[in-house]
Amino acid sequence: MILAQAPGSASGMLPTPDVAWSSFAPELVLVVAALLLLMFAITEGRQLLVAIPTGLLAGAAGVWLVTQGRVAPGAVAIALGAATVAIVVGVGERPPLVQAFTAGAAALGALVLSFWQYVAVMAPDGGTATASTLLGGSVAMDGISLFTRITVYLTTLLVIPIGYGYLQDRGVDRPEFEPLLLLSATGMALLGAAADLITLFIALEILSIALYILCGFARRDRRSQESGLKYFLTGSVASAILLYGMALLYVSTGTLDLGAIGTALGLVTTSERVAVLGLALVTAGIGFKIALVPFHLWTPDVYQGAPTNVTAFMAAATKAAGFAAVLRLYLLAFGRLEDLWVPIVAGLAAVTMIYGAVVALVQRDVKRILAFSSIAHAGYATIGVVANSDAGLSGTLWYLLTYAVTTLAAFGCVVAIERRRRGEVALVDLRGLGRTSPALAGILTLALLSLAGIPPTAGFAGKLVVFQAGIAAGFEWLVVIGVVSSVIAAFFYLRLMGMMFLEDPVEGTEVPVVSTGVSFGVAIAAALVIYLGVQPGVLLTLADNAAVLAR
Amino acid sequence: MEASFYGQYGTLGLLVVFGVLFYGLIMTVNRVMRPSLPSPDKLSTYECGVDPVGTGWSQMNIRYYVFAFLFVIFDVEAVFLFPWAMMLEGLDGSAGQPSPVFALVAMFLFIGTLLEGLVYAWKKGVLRWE
Repeated sequence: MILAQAPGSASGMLPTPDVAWSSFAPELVLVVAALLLLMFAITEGRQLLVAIPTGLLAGAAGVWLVTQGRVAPGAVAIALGAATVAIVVGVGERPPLVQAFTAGAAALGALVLSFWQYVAVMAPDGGTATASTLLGGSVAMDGISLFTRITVYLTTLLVIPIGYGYLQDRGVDRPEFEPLLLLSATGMALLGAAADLITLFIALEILSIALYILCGFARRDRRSQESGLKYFLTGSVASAILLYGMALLYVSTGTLDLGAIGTALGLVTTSERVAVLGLALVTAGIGFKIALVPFHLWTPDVYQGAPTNVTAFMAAATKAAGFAAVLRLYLLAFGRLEDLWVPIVAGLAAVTMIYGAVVALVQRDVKRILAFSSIAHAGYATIGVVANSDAGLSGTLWYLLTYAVTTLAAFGCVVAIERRRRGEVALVDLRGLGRTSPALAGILTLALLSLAGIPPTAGFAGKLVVFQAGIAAGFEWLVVIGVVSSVIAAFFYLRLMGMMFLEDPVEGTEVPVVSTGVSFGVAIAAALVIYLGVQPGVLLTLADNAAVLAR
Repeated sequence: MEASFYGQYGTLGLLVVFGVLFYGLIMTVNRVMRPSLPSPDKLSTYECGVDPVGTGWSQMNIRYYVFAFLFVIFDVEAVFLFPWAMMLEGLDGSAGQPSPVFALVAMFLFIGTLLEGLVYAWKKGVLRWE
């Protein structure tokens, strides 16, 4: 009994943290939706039995929230509860559609709640957001968490319709897909909000474990098996390395809180050697997740083998979540060690940009090209990290959002083409696409232009902000390398466009299968690519206002 | 402080010593009292009821893994249940503490989440051996 007693408390009570529900309301929606979808998966034909109680409970919770003065979350809860019942009544005879619609509604609800977090909790008077850490310092509400949520939930929302028909074509439309997707998105959003090492690691594992399964989701396909297994094995090793680094950080600083680690690293009493070893291991572990060279070797194989909609999700959302963790770790925890990590990470960024662009030149598979392009883009985003400033912080967050919508549009088009090919999409498969299906080719061209960073697309707006932050922080050489890498990369983007528009279509090929879902998802992504490029003001201001770190 | 620190380990050490002694005592009494009728079946290695065939490197049925997994989930749940049960007694809903009803509902939500996993596995036929 003596052992169980907390020191300094007479009654033997442990301190209970104040549960700030607003700090993880969007994730709550997704987890509940994932549980609900799993129940749907096992109640064949009797989904109303699950939907009606859930809808009633959600409605009751919503009404209670409204009476408590929380109008927006209450309205979201009521709407989602009603939507659940309506979806089951409306499309109940087609279970896959029920899963997709419910998951989409949940992602939309989470997105709305993320904006509500900013409007009602972080910046109630408008303007600059106030950052705070909640739940005993384990969850932060600041710019990083806000932008990660927006990016991740937007991606989830668009990936669901894009992948719906594709999974059916490949015969892998199992009902477990959407719950896993939602759980992975939950992990990503939590990773963006994690303010201590334990939360960070658990969020990373939630997102990774769900993604390992999603990569191998087409389990009769050898490439998908290879993708899942490779990601699992290398990902587990990276997690172990990261965990070891975190343990060393704890040894040297005696705290798990990222802000407190940052403070402790500046003290003379802190053992610097152990902390530096921890920094190195954490860099390797987290570098794997965001695919920085030389920790990128898994990326091409995993991206190529995974079902294309999963690849799109990984490229857009996982990258955003990984960079959120990187930003928080380096700017907050390793701030005092900047002399040490800034040159190293800058070097990694330079190598990553050049490598991703050069190796993509010799690829024949479109998914592989996009995989190497994602490696190069990780390098561009890293410029904002090494800038180590508020401008760099908001620049990276903004860049990840623009990259997410761009890559979603690109992969959405690949999904449509791949459904015709029944498998991989080689460069020659794009031949003459501009004549057989001009709309699709046009959108793919738009996405490629955005990836190359040509105005007036989102990719240009993203690169501009990141490069500006890099120059302001004195990293002209890195920005020059970034521009050179963009030029090299533009060559193979242009080659893809040339394939589509300048060459004649091969005789006897069918036009790509563009279902309602794909055209919905791709059209929104393409519209966002143009909107963010032409009118970056709204969200860029949000990024600037949100560039506050919860310390 | 120092003394009580080692004192606590002393309690633990005493428990270990007592446990070993108690185990030895029971096994000795057992050996003295029981009849000894050995047969080939009784003398073979006991492996959870499965005949010990082949070497230790043989492939195991994957179903063991699923069962072990489900067991571990609920085993870990117990780890969370014990401190919760310790805390529940003292909760009174005052001064930033949750009310006991809240704590009860929260724990049942947690158990319910895990139970849904079990129900899912059950409905998917994972628990059937053949």
